[in-house]
Amino acid sequence: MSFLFLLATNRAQARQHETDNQIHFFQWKVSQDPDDFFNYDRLGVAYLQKARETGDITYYNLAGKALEKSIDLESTQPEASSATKHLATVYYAEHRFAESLALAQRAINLNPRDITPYALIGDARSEMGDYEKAWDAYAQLQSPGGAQSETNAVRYLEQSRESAESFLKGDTKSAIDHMRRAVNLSVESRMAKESIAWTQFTLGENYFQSGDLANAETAYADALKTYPDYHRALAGLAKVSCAAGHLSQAIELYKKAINVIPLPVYVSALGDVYARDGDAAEAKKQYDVVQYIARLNAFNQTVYNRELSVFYSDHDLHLPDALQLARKEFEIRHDIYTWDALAWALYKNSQPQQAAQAIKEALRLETNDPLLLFHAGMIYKRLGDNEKAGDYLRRAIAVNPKFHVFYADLARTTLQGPSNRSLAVRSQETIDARP
Amino acid sequence: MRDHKIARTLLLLMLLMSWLANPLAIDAHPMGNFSISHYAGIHVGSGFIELHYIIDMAEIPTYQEMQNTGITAEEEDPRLGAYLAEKAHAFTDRLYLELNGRPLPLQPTSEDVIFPPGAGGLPTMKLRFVYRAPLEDPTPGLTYTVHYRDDNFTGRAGWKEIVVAAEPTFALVTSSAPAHDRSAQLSNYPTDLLNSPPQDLEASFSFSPSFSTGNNPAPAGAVHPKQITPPSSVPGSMRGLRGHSSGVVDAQVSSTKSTQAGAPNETLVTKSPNSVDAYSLRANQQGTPRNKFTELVSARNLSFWFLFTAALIAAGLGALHALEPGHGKTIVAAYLVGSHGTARHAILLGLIVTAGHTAGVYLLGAITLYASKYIVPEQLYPWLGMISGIIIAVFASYLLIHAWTVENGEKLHDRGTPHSHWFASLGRRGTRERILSKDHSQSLSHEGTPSRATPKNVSVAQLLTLGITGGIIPCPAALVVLLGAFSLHRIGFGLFLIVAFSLGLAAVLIAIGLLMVYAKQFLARWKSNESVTQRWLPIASAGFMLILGLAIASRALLSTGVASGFFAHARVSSFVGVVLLGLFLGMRHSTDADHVVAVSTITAREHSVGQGALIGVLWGVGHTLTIFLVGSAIILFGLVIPPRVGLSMEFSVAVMLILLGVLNLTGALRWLTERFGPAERRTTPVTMNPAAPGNTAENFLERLRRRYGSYQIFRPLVIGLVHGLAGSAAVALLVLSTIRSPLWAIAYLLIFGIGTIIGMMLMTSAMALPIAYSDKHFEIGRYLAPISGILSTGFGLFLMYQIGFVDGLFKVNVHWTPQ
Repeated sequence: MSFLFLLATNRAQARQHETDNQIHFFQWKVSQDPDDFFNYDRLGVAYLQKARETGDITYYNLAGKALEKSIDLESTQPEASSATKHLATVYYAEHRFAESLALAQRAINLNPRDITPYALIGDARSEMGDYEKAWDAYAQLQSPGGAQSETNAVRYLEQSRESAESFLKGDTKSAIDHMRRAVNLSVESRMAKESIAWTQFTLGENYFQSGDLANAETAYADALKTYPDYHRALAGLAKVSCAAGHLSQAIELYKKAINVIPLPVYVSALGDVYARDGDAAEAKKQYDVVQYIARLNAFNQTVYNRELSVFYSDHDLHLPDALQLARKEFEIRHDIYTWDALAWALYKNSQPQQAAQAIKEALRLETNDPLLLFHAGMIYKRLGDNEKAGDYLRRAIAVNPKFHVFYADLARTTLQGPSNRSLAVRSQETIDARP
Repeated sequence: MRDHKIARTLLLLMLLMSWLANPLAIDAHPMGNFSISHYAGIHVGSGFIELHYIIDMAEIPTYQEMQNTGITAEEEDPRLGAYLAEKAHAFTDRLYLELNGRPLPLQPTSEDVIFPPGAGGLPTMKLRFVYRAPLEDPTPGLTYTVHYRDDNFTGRAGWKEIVVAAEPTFALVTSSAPAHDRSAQLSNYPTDLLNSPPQDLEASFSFSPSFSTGNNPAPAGAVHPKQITPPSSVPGSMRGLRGHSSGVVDAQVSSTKSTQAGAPNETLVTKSPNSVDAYSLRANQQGTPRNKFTELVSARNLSFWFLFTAALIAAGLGALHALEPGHGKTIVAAYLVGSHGTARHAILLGLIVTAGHTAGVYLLGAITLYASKYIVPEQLYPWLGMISGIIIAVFASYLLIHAWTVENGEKLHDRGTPHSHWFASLGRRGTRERILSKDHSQSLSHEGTPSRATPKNVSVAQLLTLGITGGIIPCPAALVVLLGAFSLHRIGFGLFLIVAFSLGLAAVLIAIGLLMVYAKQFLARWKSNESVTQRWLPIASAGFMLILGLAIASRALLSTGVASGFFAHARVSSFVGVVLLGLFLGMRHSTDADHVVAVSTITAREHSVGQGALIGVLWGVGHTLTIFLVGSAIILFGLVIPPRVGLSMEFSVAVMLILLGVLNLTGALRWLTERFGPAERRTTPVTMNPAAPGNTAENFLERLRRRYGSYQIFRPLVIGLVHGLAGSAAVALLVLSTIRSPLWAIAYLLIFGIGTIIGMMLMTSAMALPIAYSDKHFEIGRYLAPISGILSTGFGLFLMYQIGFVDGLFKVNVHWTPQ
């Protein structure tokens, strides 16, 4: 009897999440020894991981508290660099980029031998738009001693950041190579499941950006296998299904992703797939949910400003709000994608001159992102510069012929001839435009 | 620190005015607005196992549910009945309850739903279902195992809690779930560092029906919800291992856990099995204050009594708030002490501070409401603080210079002799001149010289400056009250509350101001030494204000982040902290027993506060000198003080104490004093050298010497030197352990020394006060000296014994830890 019971509890415990176990363990350690800074640090890391997995900001708050307590207890010895850099990660997740940067610097000052915070420094600088300095920071991850002296953690960071840098600079092929290596490193170093899955997912994104749908699907599927119900992987698979034309499958996958975390970008994408499939009513429902999230966003000041701006611009809803949200995001973030959101919102608000300036900034690194190129093409078209417009649109389609559920077609039709139709994406119009 | 203050004030608000509080960060669902939280209360009864299943959906899933099913967030919606019935069955599809491995069917017996408001009033949804599974005739004595699993909404964030309880007729042998929930059926989500939201979607337990009913005593303790037991699965999963090894580990550890959970026969208190009311649905506590407030404030008539009570409470809060650090209380106090303020000025100043505060809150409220896109209020605070800090510092410097350069001014004020200050030639004529001339025309003596009605020493301009800058920094608490009322469209009510709040603030400030004014007047009543009240107090108060102003400005500057590019942020803030700490430690250090006793031997013989203060200063100087010299040697050259030497130094202090005591007792002191005393004692103030005012040609020391006598100067100095010897090692080592850079360490020594000077000066003044006062009326003076002599000798002897024998100076084993 008791043996069966033990087996039963076994199953119960075994199914319980790895991260939850970590949290419980370190809560217990902290309760046993409330003056040990190390346990607070580890507790903070566990909360951080939980926050990444659930998307629930409560855990970012808890992580922040735990790490601040750790730093309270120990802030001047080199050992304090661990909690410091973890707290920097929390701030980064909360989009407090300047503070994150300062803390990451401090972590390095405390312990110059641990170069992992350079990854965070580079990330923060990227978000703030200081790309040159970001590349410098990433370069620090390549330790001079050669491959042998690096730890797996550093090598992973090195490869993943090289990949990001390459992609932003327009070399998508290198980005893919580096990210593949990063995936292998993450598996070898037995990182947390969600982190491995994230790496695989990002590889899938890189493949998708380059138009290689088959490999993208494989990568997304791997991510899902590593971490069941991983919402990003589900959304990625949905995107691939949609590009391949399997709309009902895409709908199912998006729904699954939304069941885990209803991010506005998923809900909006689901709406677009419904629209493409001809179901205007359902599409509208999803768009309503996104707008509902926007209302909550205003109250809670969550970090969705850019996504919501793009949603409004894409669907011609509340265009002044689209611009305002983009500008608000611009206050804290100056990366190329924020410039892009701003450019698109300006374009939709009939300010093509300023839109052109903004999109120039967005493209200054010569990233080969089809959406950026598409936006640039449309903006120059509006300005009357058909040559430039055509160039950009062609490039977008060349990189990935199926880069967006609607815009890929729109790019093609725009290339084919002058269009008097408004360039808005309304569900009815695009249904008409379906071949 | 600031966050702590804000948190405390908000808590106070909520406690006192729980029905008025409404934080601006409008309470979204506490678990995040896309969360879905689960509660499962499993209850074993005779003939059934009951499952109380509550699902709490936050704003977004509620909206999606409403979209998908067409229901509305009204509890009277007729469609809800069908919806609930359907949901009750739908949920059971993914709920598993197994008894000894056999699945049990779950029959819904009741359904319920409420729609508590969440962020911005948008609805959330709380569903409650009660299911029953039949439990056929359990055999007493046998153990039954139950396994429960909830597969609804997998992967979704939320609070997930399971509790297990059984009727008294069943003994709960083991349980992986606690008996009491933390969330009171999802109506409260207490979360802190060690109590993060539970994530339990599975539970197992076993029970055994007892042979006779009611035999089992009520249990001592269920598993305490806050008790943190070692987790059942060791994080060997740090390496991501799953499979046999962790399974075996799990088995072992979980068996220990289950025996810890409760001895056999321990039953758990159950809620009354039949009353479903025990599990009634409640809205979140975090939402409750807002609800009550909504009810109250949205009442049709804001009745008079309601307004009155609300105003009272707001005023009370304002008063309480004024007692906290900040809001210019200290500035007000310092200013009034240093100036020639009257009660009327105190009242006026209090009112101005309050008006400034109210205006600040209104302004900030307006900015928050209308301009929050362009100006972020949180960013304003530091700038406001910095500006007002700078203004206060500038103002204080002006007062300081003014007070300092009044050379023998007090006497001349009596006479109304025309004089000027060295800075009168600077700057503009006009207002400044007028203020100055006003300042000096008021008579100070009590000889009935009619004081002119109009000119006051305290000008309205000064009061206004001080009051506004002191009060302009609005406090978050008041802002919260204002914005809370706004969000409920009770704008007038909000403004009214702020006024009440400010009145409470004013009351306290005025009370403090009056206290200061009367204390000063009391002080001035016995003019044993006018220079204290006329010169030193204003200087001290102005200096204090200057320090405060600079501290406010620098703290605000740091939090603007402007300086962070310039310094390493941490370093500067810790520098300021270290300076303050050094000053404070120094002040505290001067209050050590042996210091006090030694100094008291001197002050016991003096009769004036000014002299007392001087003694303290001189002691401090001597003490600082040795500490600085010896400490620097230790820091710079790594001088090591062997234990015996250290003990000898402390021993010398004991010797000195004895010496001083004996001298006091034998009256030899008196002889010394008279022999080396000042040239003219007991000269009246009037015949003091009426040298031209502002004549600084005379050496400051020379003047001191003439006034007090060289003996009086050197004695405290020497005592201080000796004390410093004994303490320097301790201080130096303490400093070394926290400050790495030698330069900063030495600077810290100086700061510490300054602290000791200030501390001792305050102490000796305080000691001299009662003596000086009582000396007029009683003849205590004669007895004070011998008393202090006895004290000093006794203490010295005790120290000798302590150092000699206990610490082992005279013995073989010396242990000396610098204290």
